[in-house]
Amino acid sequence: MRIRNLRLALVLALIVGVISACSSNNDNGKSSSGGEKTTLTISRWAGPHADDQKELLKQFEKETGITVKMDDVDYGQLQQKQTLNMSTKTGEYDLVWAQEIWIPEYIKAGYLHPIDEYVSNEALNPADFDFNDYNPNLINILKSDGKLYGLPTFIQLPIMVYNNDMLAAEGLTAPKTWSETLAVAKHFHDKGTGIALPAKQGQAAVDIFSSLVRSNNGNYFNADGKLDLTNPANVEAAAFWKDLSAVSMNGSTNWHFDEVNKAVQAGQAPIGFTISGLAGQLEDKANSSVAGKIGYAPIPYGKQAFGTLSVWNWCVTADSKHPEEAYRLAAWLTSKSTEKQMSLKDGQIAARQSLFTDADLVKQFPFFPAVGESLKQADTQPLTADAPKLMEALQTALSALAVGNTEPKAALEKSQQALASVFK
Amino acid sequence: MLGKSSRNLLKAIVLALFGLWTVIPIWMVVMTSFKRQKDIFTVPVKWMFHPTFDNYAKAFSNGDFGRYFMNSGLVAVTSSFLAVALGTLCAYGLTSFGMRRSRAITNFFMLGKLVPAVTMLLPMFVLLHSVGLLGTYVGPILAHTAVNLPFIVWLAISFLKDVPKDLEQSALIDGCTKMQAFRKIILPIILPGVTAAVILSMQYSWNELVFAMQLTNMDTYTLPVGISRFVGSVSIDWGKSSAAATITMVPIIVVGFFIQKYLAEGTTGGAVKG
Amino acid sequence: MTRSNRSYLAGFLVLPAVAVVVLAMIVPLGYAIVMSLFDFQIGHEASGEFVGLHYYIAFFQDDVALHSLLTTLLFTFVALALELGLGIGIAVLLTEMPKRLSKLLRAIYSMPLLISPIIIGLIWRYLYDPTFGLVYQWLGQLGLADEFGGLAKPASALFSIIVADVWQTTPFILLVVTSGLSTIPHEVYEASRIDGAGFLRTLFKITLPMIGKVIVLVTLIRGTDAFRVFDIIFALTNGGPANSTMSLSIFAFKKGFEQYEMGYAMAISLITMLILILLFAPLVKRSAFMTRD
Repeated sequence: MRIRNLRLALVLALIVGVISACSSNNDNGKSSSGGEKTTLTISRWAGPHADDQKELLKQFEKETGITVKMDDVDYGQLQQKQTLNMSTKTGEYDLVWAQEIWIPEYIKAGYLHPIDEYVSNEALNPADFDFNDYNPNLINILKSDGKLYGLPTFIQLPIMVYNNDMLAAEGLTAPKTWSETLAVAKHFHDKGTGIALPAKQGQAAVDIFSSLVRSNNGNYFNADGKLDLTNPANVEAAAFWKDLSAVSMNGSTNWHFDEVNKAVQAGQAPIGFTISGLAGQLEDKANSSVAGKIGYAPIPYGKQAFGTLSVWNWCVTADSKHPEEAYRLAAWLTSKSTEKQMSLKDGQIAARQSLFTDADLVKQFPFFPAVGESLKQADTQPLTADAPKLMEALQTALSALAVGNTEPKAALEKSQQALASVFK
Repeated sequence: MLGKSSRNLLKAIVLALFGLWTVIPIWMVVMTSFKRQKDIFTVPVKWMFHPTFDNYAKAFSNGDFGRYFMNSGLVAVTSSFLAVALGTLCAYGLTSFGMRRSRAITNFFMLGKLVPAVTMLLPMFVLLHSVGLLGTYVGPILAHTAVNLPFIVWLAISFLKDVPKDLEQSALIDGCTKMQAFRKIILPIILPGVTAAVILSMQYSWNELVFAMQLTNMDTYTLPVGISRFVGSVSIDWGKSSAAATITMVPIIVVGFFIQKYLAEGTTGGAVKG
Repeated sequence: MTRSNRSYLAGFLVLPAVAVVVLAMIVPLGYAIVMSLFDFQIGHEASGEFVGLHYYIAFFQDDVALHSLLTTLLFTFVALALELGLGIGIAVLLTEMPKRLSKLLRAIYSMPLLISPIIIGLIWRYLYDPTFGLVYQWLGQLGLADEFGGLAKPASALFSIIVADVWQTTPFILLVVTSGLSTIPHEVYEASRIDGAGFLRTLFKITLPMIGKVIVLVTLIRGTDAFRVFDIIFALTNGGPANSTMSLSIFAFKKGFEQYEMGYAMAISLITMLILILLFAPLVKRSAFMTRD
């Protein structure tokens, strides 16, 4: 028996030896902590926005002498990669881009480094830092037990877009309320198209739905903080979602915001719900057949407009070997001038209040006023450690409603029951 | 009963239809990769158009394809070599030595085959980190080798069982050692099976995404990780995605084409029987 | 060579493969079994709360879980039946063709197998696109476009995914069955031809029985893979619409990495494995390596 174990160990050692012989020896340049040549690795999702950001990072590298590597991966795998690395304390990432719904979990698990002492350290902040210019509501999301865990940057907000030419051709005007929107969508549905909805089983539908609920004075929780999905205002919103899905474009029930945007961009969809972060592409003259023809409005409302925003934040990781430098990069990335440059590139909405009314930006991106309007009355999804379970339940319910499998009240009752053990 | 010629015609039609069914989806992607945006979004689909290389330029400017290529090649070749070599030798050890626990060990491989990837990921991540090999090629190579091993062992066992025992016996009597008998007599006979194993394990490794993304870092990303950056959940730039997809597909298809040659060319069991 | 030297050699041949599988699969499996008994957070395993078999009981009381089990079973059986039928049929047809032609065709047919799941997702999202996709365009010419819900309707989404899966993995069956067929001695066919047996008769009386073990083998390999289907669903529908394509693996992934219920995710994976063993154990007994010489 002993000999056999010994042999096993030998073979294992052999395998590891052989394999590591052909593995690369790059250590990511991280060993040099002497301060002379620091390398930061940052994690975010890949896409045009990331490519634009890479360009800007060159300025930061020039100004500070710090090298920045951006590990931009597919959005679908981002949370998993961040979680695995931070939980195992690999020190791979110094700065992570995290969505607001991940933040409570990240803080609770101790993945993030508090940055209060850095914020008050002038030496780490760029000249136009102006902390008070960050949207205070968004700063609050990043606070826990009086400590700050990141800086907000990129805001996304579902908005309604419509093709002015197509509406005019039918003698229709831009809708604002539920009933108006339903009428316009039905008109086009009778002619073979309809409204383009992101009704795929996923978070886009829930973001739209939360806007609908709140615009109807509804809420997922009652005054005592208990889960209350089936109140009448919520059921009305669910009924509107179902009715609207019934007059949506063919295929909408498997669409995310991207597919909606594509349908609008190609001039197929007369009207649709997309997200502010993609609206810039509609105005891109090189690729969009509808540039200049699109109107923008908040998601239609029951009583008054209400937006559901999601916001991406730069957070220093607890296992970073260079937290100070990482913070410095976060402050630089979210500074007024950097954010304005980013916005000019692709129409992103930054968490800086002063930029909403910036003349250069409004001129180039006509949807800024609509987003600004929505932001006045806007909130994030509920942010508790259990919120992902609520979102998941709603994703299922909304998808079932969109394909006409269930009734509004029944769908919400079912979700309420499924969550009974979670939200007591 | 159909006549011989009409039966042949029927067979030809079936084979041709199956060919179209196979090729059209791939052709759509290759075609899209050479289209301009306005030629992509058309109803009906355009089969003739003015080709452009813009999408390739965009894809290349966006990703370090040279490096992804190298990484993919290294991981795929190493892991499939390891899996096929270890698997085939293991199968030989299990079938031809009258080993006492061979059946239990074969069952053990069956168990390995059933372990879900979701279960493997987290422990492997922790393990690799603790030995300092996270982010190197070791992660994906180990994962891919392990995933492929059980089925290669199975496959090899089932082929080895078809090799007539007296062939090996006579080689041993002629003075060959066990390993010589394996190399000179048995390997040539099971070559088609080994070839199938090489193709299958290589294609898995070349295309695998989750281990290749989570156990590596920016320097060791493979092609699927690279293209997931455009083809993934966010982007719908069909032109660029198709270009990236074509770049990834073509090499493995070409390699597959060449390896296939050996698939049905090994000495058949029947031919050597006499 | 002495008897004991030989058994050393056998051990030396077998051990490396066993070691790799133990390291990469059995150790994680043990970890999963332990962790499925705890309510824990990644990175905080030590502070997990022991919950016993709670998650296993929860699984059988969870509608979504049971539904995903059904979906997975349906997917496995339909996909497997179609793939086996097509794969074996084409493989046998190919043996009747001239050698060069059959080689060329086989190489062409095996292309989809070589393509990455991400790209498969991309390809089929194009094809199923309701506005620009080829599937709807062709169905439209037959007047069927309105009937077919594609990926967007619960009634058709799973079937649409199965079609894509059949497209991708039939070549696997084709490939393995082909290499199995190549070990059938030519004399057997010639003998049957001289006897005047027809195509179907030869197929059922001679060909299929001779490659029976290979068929059992591909059924095992493909069946166990299909039961753990993840990539293609992840790429095409992510479990929707209305959970109609939620497989067990997708469900486990969502629980573990989106809702941070790692313990539950591990329990789901282990239940998946247990069901797999129940389903396929009878086949294992019949497969080649279980029969004594």
